[in-house]
Amino acid sequence: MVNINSLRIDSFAENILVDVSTAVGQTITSVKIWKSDEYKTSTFTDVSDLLSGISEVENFTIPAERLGLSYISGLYMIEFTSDEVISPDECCNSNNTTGVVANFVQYEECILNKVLATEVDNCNVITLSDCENCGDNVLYASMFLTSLYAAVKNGFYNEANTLMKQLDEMCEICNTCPAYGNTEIVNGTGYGTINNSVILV
Amino acid sequence: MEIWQDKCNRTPMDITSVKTLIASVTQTISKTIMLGDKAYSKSLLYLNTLVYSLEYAITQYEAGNTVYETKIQKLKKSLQRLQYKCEDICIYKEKYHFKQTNLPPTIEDNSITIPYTQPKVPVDLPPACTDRFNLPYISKTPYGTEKVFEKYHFTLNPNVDKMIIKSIYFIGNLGSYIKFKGQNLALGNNNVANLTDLNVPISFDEINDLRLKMYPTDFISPSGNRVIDATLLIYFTIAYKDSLNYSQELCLTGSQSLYE
Repeated sequence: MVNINSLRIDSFAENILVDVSTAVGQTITSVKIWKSDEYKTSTFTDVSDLLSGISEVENFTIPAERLGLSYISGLYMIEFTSDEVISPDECCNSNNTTGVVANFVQYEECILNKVLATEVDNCNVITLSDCENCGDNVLYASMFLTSLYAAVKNGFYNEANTLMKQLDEMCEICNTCPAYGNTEIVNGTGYGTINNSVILV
Repeated sequence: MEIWQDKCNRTPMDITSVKTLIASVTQTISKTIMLGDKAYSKSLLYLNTLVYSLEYAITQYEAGNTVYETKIQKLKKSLQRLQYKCEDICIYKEKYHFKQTNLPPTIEDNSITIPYTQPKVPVDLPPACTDRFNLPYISKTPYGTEKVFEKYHFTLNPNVDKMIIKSIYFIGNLGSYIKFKGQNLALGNNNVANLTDLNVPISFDEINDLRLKMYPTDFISPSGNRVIDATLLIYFTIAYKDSLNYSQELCLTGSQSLYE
């Protein structure tokens, strides 16, 4: 049994802060990170070398650079495995646990920018120059983001991936790469895992 | 995705999907009950997005990211425009209390009732609101006589940029001593007084005109009884800018007898 005491992205999205433990006398042996849309594929980052391996408790930091990033954004699954031996027919126990971290600030910024590119004129939402269809897109993007939070909260990760793809397209994250900046994560704009529960942080 | 399935083959997703479905239906029903046929109005969707973005920007600002200050101002202006120009929003706003933010200064809706008997000399009423330094935003000095409904004279601080006469209430005593209320009349943008200096007398001629439009037979109630006494309640909304240049609103209520 691996317990994720705390797993979250730091305020500047430069590190993932990890606090995990396993049964007394056991150690955590493996840590694997997937981007949510690649979960359980062979495309993962192994950061097991960050483990101290000297006790059942591990406190460490995963720098963004280990994921090839300077700013951690999006949804990630992190699997922790211990050396605890579990008999095959043992029910409801496992030597691995998967946690979730997420940072959705860039989507918040995207929506904010789109809203700021609109104006109200006699009850009509009009789009200012250089942001075609912002008026309509912002409504969809806002709905998608609300749905994304709900999807992660309720464990609908496939749906979350779909929603993120939609948002990436709407926010042109994959194309023109607008500068959403390395915006600080504030309360309520990401997810972490506390005591094995995925919660809004 | 299989990560939340355990070896007992329990599938929490099944439970959560039912809960989500129920919550979704409940929310839709609640929204429809609250908003009637306006539930799918685009302006309401836009309002929701504006409020959402405003809350995000405020959270960033409160976390010390001051670059969001101008964004907050712009969002608030858009919200104000939406609130005063969209019928759907006006209807919605009556039924829905917006989340209060912690942006300084925090102003709560305040209400002042001008005394029934008006003094003949200007008297400073207690300030309606004070800012976080305990300084008054506005003081109000009524002019007029007991009988004639003339004008109020507002002394406004330099940050007040406009005044909006929001609505009129008309309360009267019928001959049978049964009170009735006139309908709440929302006024349009023509009643926005742009203030160019600090001491601007607000004329109520327009209000009287509007009152007559409401009751063209001059104080005959809708039921046909003659009104023998009437009090006009006027709801003002003062839009002003505070020391941090945030647009704020303050609701004031004034009333004056139309008859002795």
